[in-house]
Amino acid sequence: MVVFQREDGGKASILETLRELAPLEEKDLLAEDGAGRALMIKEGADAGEIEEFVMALIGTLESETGLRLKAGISNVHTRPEDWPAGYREALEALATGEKYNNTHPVQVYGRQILERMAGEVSAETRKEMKRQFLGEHPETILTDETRETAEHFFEADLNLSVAARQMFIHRNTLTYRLDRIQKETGLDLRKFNDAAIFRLIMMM
Amino acid sequence: MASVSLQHIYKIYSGNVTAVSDFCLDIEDKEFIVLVGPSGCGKSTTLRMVAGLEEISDGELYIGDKLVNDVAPKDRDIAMVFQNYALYPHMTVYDNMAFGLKLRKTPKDEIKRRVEEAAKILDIAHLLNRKPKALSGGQRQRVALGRAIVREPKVFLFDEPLSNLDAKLRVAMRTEITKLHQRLQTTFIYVTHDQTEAMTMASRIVVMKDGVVQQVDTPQNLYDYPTNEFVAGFIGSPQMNFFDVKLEKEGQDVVAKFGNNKIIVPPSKIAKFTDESYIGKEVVMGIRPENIHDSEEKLAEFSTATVDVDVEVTELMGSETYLYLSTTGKEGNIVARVDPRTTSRAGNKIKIALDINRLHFFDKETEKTILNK
Repeated sequence: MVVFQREDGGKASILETLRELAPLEEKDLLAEDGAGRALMIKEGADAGEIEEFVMALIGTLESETGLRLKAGISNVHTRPEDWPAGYREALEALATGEKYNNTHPVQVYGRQILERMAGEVSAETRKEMKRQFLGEHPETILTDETRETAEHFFEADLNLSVAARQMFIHRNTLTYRLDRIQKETGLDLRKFNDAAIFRLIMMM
Repeated sequence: MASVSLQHIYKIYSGNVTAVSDFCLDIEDKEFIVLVGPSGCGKSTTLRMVAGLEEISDGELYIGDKLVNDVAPKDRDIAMVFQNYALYPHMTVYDNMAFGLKLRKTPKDEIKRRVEEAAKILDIAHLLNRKPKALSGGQRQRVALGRAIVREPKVFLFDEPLSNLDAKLRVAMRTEITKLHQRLQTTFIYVTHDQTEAMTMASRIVVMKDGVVQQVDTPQNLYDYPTNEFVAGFIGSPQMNFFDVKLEKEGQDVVAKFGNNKIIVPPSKIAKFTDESYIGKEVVMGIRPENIHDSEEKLAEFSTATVDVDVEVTELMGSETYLYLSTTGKEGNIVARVDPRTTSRAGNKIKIALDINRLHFFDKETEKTILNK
């Protein structure tokens, strides 16, 4: 199940535009939820293909009509009785993306496990974890630049060259920034375990 | 094919954040214009306004002689290639390329003709029956280009189309896009942060910073006659060396002093000063790395412009060597690009010569060049 909504949160219907421009297959379903969102049930495709399809569709819509959408994708549900759960998951994926300021137009419920876990952690534990790695003034360490650097680095699967290219900065600049994060937090983001801890902290 | 004219274009977001300010540019038919600048300089926003994906806050945009401020993206007769070249996974390459035309209700035989022709141009005719899953990154990017080509638009817009590719493929695709421009004879507007892409592909480059156009010129003119310190530093790699100097009159000569160093500025350069009153003032002097020499021959040729330096690091690049040097009166390193057979080594104290004919001078306050062309 995929839920589409306008990027600006507008409520005007997007169903007709999707009907006109989405290359749906015979068994695919498209509907509206009454809140300006469109739902799509795509049959027979695996999770990766659905994500790729949604990315292509969002790109097509933007370049053809200027309409900017974002989408939440649920886990795969094969039985119609599970579709309501799929709808809730897709909505939750969108909400989670918003909560963590994730600007990617496609949010996938199945990949937001860390985000959901972070949401379960008690306020006291959060405070303690933050203090352990970020000290008494987390805002001085967790700056916009640090967040952006870490997010790109994680997105690139901890690959320095790819992340630097995506950020349009020199590889040495990225190395310098990671060294600085290590100096300030003790966490070396080039190591998987440290990266996982830092990602959790960022979500808190 | 069409000209594009941007007249006093502004993009102002809510909260009075100005992303693009007073952008003026006339792009001629068949030109290859590259917008270049650091992240957040407004180049993509400008491109998106041309595409119709961002509303223009103020100013007028013409494609051909038609005012298109309020024309929907699909009716602007443009095609855009993004960095995220997502293709429909369940469709073949042929169907992906044909999809935009089908939406426009183009007749089937016309779609076939256009797709096959584009595939031939891009050398992907043998891939038309494949699904995207079976394509490499470079092939996918070609399909994305193909999707744009089949529309036969008046103007092609490219937004960092190569940034997802690895270094080798990027160089190859750069050449492909240049060839494509020559073959299609259509107006190209291309956004990149990469000055090498800009220098190698553009007929003219627009350098932007903080939403403001800094200079519009041919690649060679941008390199040789930068209008301000930002352009001088942004175009060229390694970047131009800058020195805070004081220009003083000594007898018949004008000298530039920094630290314990003094070089004689040639009269031919002084003659190009926009204002002679700069003599006696502090200005910024610039020189590109390739115009700094350590050979005996050049030290003799430019004997009035030698500087004593310490060699801190040498980097052998194969066809050239970079020297990282330090001297008095200059914060940070001087970078020189010299012959790879240089005998200079880290720890040496050497003399370097500055090619006095290649010096640049900038106003210390405004950062604008003080030289006439």
